[in-house]
Amino acid sequence: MALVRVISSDGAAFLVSQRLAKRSGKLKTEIETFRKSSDNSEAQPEIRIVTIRAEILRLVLQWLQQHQNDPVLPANQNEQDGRGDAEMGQSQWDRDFLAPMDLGIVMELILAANHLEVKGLLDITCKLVESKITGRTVDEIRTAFKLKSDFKGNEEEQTRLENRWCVEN
Amino acid sequence: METLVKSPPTEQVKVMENVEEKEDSLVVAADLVQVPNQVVLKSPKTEPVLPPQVWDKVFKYLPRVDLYQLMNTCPEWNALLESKKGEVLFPKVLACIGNQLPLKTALICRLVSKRCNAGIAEGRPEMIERIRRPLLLQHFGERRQVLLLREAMIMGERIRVESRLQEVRETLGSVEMYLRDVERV
Repeated sequence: MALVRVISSDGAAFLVSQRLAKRSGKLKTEIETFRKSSDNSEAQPEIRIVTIRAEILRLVLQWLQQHQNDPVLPANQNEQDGRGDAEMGQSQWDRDFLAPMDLGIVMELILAANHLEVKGLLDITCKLVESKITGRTVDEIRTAFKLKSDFKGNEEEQTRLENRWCVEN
Repeated sequence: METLVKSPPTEQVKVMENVEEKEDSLVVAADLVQVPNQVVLKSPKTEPVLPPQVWDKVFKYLPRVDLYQLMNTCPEWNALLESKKGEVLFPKVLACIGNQLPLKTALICRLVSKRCNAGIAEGRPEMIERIRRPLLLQHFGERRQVLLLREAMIMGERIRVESRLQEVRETLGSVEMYLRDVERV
């Protein structure tokens, strides 16, 4: 079976079957670029991902492995309404997969899924974060994500003023 | 940074096959990453060795934008920066998912912090542009003023419709559940 070596930012290497790797848009492009530039068609591609650390990369690969037989969703499907398909697409396995993660890990996963272009994983993680912020007040969001306001002077007031056109209160 | 950083030699090779031995391969993958247990007490394996407090000071001199890269450098630094994750990652996440959020949520996120505001602006530039336009009213002629105001009102209307839609969805959900219960009986 054709394999590809995927190396995380902190230097751990994963050997993944190319069939599995190609379910990520980014890895697919990288593999194809490698094929074009290399004379030896048998050579094993090596891809270094500089923005994803091993723990997160492992989670992404694990998710890909679980979903290897799902139909590939076109990247721009449901762009207007990202909530439509995520609901039916979320399996029990996905829920168990996400349940033990803290928000920090989930956010790293979102960035990784976005970078690697893994639409399905991006959908479920986004939905999770969205559920944590929708319907909350500004202060509640700050507490949940351990954020501090860094507005200076009247900057916050200015932003509020811009929002005023769309939100009453 | 490159000169400072020597990431620990974590070079390992494990096989993530898929086919039948799913159980096995997952176990193989699981011992791949060494996450430090004693997070704060451990220093990254650099030479010369520095205590975590000193790293904290070093990090303070770096522009904030670097912190995400530092987190990815090695597990030890990731653990050191655990408490900064929200601050560093949340705006990036907003930039990435901004156009999937309901309008009202996106607007509220703008008020959380300056960096969140910037994140939303990156993820949803067209919305920001639209809500800023009415503030420039005095710079436009009368005809355009009317158009801009109408546009702002449409935005507001869309938000109200969105939240109404949410309510309808929830009601539908409970009706469906009720119907399923009835069917079972």
